[in-house]
This record gives sequence, C-alpha cells and structure tokens, in this order.
Amino acid sequence: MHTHTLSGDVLALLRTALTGAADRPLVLLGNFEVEDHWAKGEAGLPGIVMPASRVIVNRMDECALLLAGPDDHVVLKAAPDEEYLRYLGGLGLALPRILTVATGQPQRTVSEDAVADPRLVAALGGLVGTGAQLWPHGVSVVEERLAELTGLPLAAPSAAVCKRVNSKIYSRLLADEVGLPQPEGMVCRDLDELDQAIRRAGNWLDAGRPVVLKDAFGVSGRGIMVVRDTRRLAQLHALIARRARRDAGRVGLVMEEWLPKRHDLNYQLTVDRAGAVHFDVIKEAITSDGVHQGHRMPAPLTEPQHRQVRSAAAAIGRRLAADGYFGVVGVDALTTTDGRLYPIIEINARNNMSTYQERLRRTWFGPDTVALARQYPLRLTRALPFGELRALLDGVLADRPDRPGLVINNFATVNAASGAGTDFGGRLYGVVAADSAQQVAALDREVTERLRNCSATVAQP
Amino acid sequence: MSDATIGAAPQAAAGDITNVVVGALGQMLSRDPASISTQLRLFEDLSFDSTSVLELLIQLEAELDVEFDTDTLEPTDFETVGALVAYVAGQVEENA
Repeated sequence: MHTHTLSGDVLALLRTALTGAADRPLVLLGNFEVEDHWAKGEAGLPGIVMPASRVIVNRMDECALLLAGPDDHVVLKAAPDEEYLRYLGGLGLALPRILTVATGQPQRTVSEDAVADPRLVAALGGLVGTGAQLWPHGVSVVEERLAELTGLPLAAPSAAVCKRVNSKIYSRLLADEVGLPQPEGMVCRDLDELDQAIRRAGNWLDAGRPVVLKDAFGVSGRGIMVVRDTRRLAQLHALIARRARRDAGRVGLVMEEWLPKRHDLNYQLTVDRAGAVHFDVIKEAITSDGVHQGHRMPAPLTEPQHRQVRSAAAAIGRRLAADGYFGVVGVDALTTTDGRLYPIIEINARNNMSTYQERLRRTWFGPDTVALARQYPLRLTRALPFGELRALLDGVLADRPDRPGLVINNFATVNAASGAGTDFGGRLYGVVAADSAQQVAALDREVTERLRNCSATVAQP
Repeated sequence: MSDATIGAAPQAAAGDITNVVVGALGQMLSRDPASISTQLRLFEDLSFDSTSVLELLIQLEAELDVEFDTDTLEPTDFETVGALVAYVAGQVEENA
C-alpha cells in the first residue's frame, strides 16, 4: 500500500477510486449535513437546527454540478438558473444531465425529496442498464433506501460503515491505535467512562485548563461545549447522566483538553476500493463558533508539518480501508499557538465543501495560486437572478483560468430562502483566487462591497 | 379552592418561569434582565448560536430541577424569549 498525489483527470481518478472503472457513469446527490441522519437515536448532546439555515444548506446540493462529467446525472431539488449553467459551462466544465425532484420540500435534503418522488425513482431505475452508480455526498439510511428503490448500486460503503467511521469516538480510538498525536482526552460510551472523564476534566479545570465535550455525531458547531468552570461541568454531567440512565446507560461523547489554536486545517484523502490511499489537498479551514465558513490555500504549514500530515493521512486511510470504508475523506486538524501540529481532530468520511472544488482547483487555478474559498452571507429583499449577479460582479469574476478573480461554485443557496414575501438570508459560495494574499484580500473586499451595493440587498443601517 | 385560585396558580408559575428564563439569559449574555422582553428573537436579536442553546438548557435544567425532553425540542421553541418561556413552562408541567 502506498500514498501518492492525485494527478491527471480528477474525475477519472475519483471514479476509479469509487467504482473501480474510470468511465463508469455516476448519479450524484449533494445531500449535505447527512450527519443529522447519523445522529438520530444516538446519545449525544441536545441541540437544534434553525429552519432557515437548513433550507439554505439543503440547496448546497447544486455543488454536485462541479464534480459531474457529461455522462453523469445530478439530482437536484430544483432546476438551476439557466444563466448559472451557462456560466459553469464557460468555466470549461462539461455539464452533466440534470434530474430534478417533482416537489422539493425546503426542509428536506435532496435524498429525502428523491425517495418520495416515484417518477424520479423510475427515471433513476432506467439508468441501471448504463452501469451507473449512485454517489451521494455521504451515505445514511436514506441514500441506501434510494439505492434500493432505484436498483442503482452505491458507489460507496454501507450507511452502517459510514456512520461508524464518522463518529468522533472512532477517530479518537483510531488515533490512539495508530499512534497519531491528538488532544489529551477520552471517549465516553457508558456511564462509567463518563464518570471517569468528568473526574479527569475536573482535575484539569482545577489546574486552569479548559475542556471540551463533543457529541460523537455533532456537526457545524452543534453538540460541542467548551467548559471553563467546575460548576458548569457538574451541570453538564447531570444532564448527560440523566439522559443516559433513561437510555440503558448509553453515552456518545468525547472529552478533550481545549487547545490554544493557531490554525484550523482540513485535508482530503481518497481511499479507493482496492485500499490504496491518495492524498488530495490540505487547506486552512476558516471557522466561526465551530461552523465552517471557508478555506484558504495554501495551508500555513512548514515542510516537516506537510510530511507529518501526509504520513497521518496514509495511516488513517489504511485503517479506514481495513474497516471497510472507501471514498472521499476529510480530516480536521489544527496547529497550536506554540507550533504543535495535531493531524487528527476528527474524520468526516464523506464529501466536503473542498471536494467540490477539486476539479476547479486542478483545471482553473495555477500551482502558485493563493485562494480563499468562502461564503458571502446575503440579506435580500427579492430573489436575485444569476444574470443580475453576474453583471453586478462584472470585472471581479475570473474570466479565464489562472487569472485573478472570483469563481462562483454554488448559486442555489442565494435564493433558497426566498418566497416568503419578506427579507431573507442567503449565501453566495465562491473562490477568490489571485497571485498573492494581499490581492485575494482586495478582491474579497471588492466582492463584499459590490454585494452590499446590490439593489436586492437589504440596506445597511 | 375557588376558580380564581385555580386560574391564578399557572399564571404565577408562568411568571416565575419567565423570571428564571430571563435571568438565565441576562447572566449568559451579560445583559440587564430588565432589557430582555419576551418579544425578542433569540438568534436574530440576542445573537444566540447552537452553543448558547445547549448552555441555556443546562442552566435551566439545573435552576428549575427539571429534565427537558430534548427529542421533542423544535427550532420554533427558540424563536423568541416568549416561545422559550412557553416551552420551559410546558416541560415543567410535564415533570411535575
């Protein structure tokens, strides 16, 4: 087994990793936040998902257009803006065929919409003869059900395998087993382990060290709590223990020291069906309160740190392959203020925002490009057509490969929450690329300014 | 027991719960509880996030000695301070 960097046609390589054949057609599903399904029935920390943000996240399904080739199909919750499709074509992306669900419910993921649509299920069933396979963003029981209903095989492992390797408990145990440095801490699977963890956390707090408790299946800042005093720790202990006693003593948490962080990092590897591990890319992750906001490239690491990351990726990939996983894996890592690298904080064994940028990264950006991938939050008074947005950003949008500018990589999220007749929130996803960090920052400011001056934007006080 | 007493008891309880909820919010957000009206929206007006939700639940469970059934927790329960008070009052009643 070996690790090497992907080169050549990213789509052919991905397809080979997922299906064993470079020319196998795929049916892509952008079911973002598949974690919500993995978390169902698990003994984690209570939390809520705000409906407005769910409506927007569900329209990240459109990201799948960036990873599909001309022989593929992409299932979407709604037809894309025609101008946006023309724009993507102009980026040199050969576009797939698009299938849309009959009645997209804003609160449902594209997979949930798809299983509820008999005509779409029949249309997908008609693709079985082409040898097509279903490639979801991540696999839960919903995507398994769609595979079953349509007869399309999954280009991914079972939901049970995916769920298991996505647990933060799994990543901690894996790091211990293969000897990767990780924050001090422990897993809590039952009341005994919880009591032990709380005692340990209490000692750390007494010594002035904050701790963090994380839900094994938490996502996007939900199910995570930093604790800085023993009173709060006791309250949290009581809350978790009470729930565990009602649930046959089950607990699903990790407790860790809270590290003084310098940079969040995120790297991607791909484990192929044969068990070979390919290192794809590492980026600096931009987060706010644990919620992913974007990425910066290149990652601020020294050459020895790059080597350490690659070696960790190889070990993680080997272990995942041994546990029956294949496909794309995103790993969160961090560096501390005193320069230590922790190459594994958690494993996301599913596609990541970064995954959808891989084709652009290889075809659109040069090797020395500095890039900022981010979301621009919007507050709009009316739906904003892509043509109007394009005109608004004229001169700032990159017009050909390896030129400074913004590349838009998801548009459906801009207007996802429109229609209620009131102001609504939206997000524009894009990658700003240039030759230097200063140039990127200037372009980023310009994009923000233009969006603020858009006639559909709510006036700022 | 008169009808008036029966009618008054839940109102008094609701008033107490409002005070506890507003007090907990004031403490969490370092804000004068008197400035927190029941019409305020938790996420938009008080800049709540997912971590604050968990923190508040923990605080209220401890103060009211109650266990919230968080499986039934809906995002609308956190829309406004008033909605949250109603949710907490409902949970207190169920625990009684």
